[in-house]
Amino acid sequence: MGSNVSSVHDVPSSVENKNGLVVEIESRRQWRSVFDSMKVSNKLVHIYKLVIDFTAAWCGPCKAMEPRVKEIVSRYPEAVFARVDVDKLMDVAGTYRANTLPAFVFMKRGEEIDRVVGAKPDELQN
Amino acid sequence: MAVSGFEGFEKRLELRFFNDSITNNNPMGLRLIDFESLDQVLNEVQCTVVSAVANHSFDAYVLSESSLFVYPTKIIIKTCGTTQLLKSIRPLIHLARNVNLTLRACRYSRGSFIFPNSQPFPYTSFEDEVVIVEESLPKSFRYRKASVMTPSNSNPSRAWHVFTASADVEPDETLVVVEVCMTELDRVNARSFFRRKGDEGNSDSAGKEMTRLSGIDMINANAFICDFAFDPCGYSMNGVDGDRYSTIHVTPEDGFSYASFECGLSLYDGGHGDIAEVLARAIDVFRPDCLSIATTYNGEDYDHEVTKRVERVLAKKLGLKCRSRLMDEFPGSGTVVYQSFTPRRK
Repeated sequence: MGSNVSSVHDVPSSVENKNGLVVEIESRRQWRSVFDSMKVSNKLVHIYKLVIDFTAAWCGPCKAMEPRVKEIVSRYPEAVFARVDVDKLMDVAGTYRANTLPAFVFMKRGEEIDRVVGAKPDELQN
Repeated sequence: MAVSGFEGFEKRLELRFFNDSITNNNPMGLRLIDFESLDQVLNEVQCTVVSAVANHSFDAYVLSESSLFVYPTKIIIKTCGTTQLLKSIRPLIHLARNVNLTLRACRYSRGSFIFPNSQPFPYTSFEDEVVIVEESLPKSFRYRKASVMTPSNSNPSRAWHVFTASADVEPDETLVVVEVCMTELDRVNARSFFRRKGDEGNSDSAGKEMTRLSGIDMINANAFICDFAFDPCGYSMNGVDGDRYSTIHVTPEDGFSYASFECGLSLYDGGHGDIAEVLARAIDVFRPDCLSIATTYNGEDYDHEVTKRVERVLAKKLGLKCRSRLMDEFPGSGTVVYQSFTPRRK
């Protein structure tokens, strides 16, 4: 992807492709902009690989796997990891049936292509 | 029997807490204990988390040597090998106090080790284990009982050891806990639990394969299964279905093969399937030559019909004959029924 990402006008700065970082989705508006920008093909920013990381404040297993998730995130700089708290964004969690956590939903151009449920760091790699 | 090998038989610890600080605004209870602290306790017990999953009701962790379940007011740890399970009692009580939870009841149970001489102190004698548990509990727990349920005719003698202690005489738990211990597994069935040569997959996809091939995924089709395949052999899984847990651990090596199946369920919730059918499916995965079932009827009124139905179903579907049936009552923890089975042909 490279380094020219920062000068994009449409996409909020929190959605820029920051290498190896997980974007915390705080609001429905932020979620919509992340999701919509995935579908937009843009020469400068093309967030077609989005990984939604469903988590919750109460999720011990999510925390158990955090160090390993961070490791993997840094290995895939071209993907955006969007962390969604299922209690804060219940309807997004509902749309993706995120009842068992942690759940990682792999999106390409707005479509779900795969998902990994449960803290299974090895499976995430594949 | 081999001279020595991995000990499949688990030690099981269950701690239950008073729920007076659990409210609608603060329903999490023990689940609020931060993971780092839990991990430290597990380190002292000599096991680590390999896989984990959570839903609205509880957290389920697959460990290097068994399983951990954390509910708002209940913790269940089950460990095999030569782990130091009882070292977790004091730290867990302390961590619970930090989230405003007071211990209400404790239950420690296990079968008979295949390699008893390989166990470290205090696991070389149940009396020593009971002393250690008692030292870790509040002195105010007035209702205590230790029992070794020994079938008179089994060979080798596989007894069931239980120690319970509680603040109240009435059991507070509503689920029935069933613990199945199987040895001398069918060799062909056990082969599913060895990693294949040239296995390109990682542990998790190998685990999924084993779950599917063995038929474990059909024991409870509703459950989400968090599985793990060990290298070069061995398998563990936790099943999550609403507030119901289940767990299976397999040591497939010939000479000391072992598999355990445990689940918590309610006798009167038809939606989750008849207990006898669930047990038959689980046991059919392994077709052992020797098995025991320890059932703890907590708050549920003991129903003898269920015990007899399990024996009938296992006899009819799997040709297993019940060789002994023992019962004991534990104040604060309910009735425990311990049945031993071997194939009819023996």
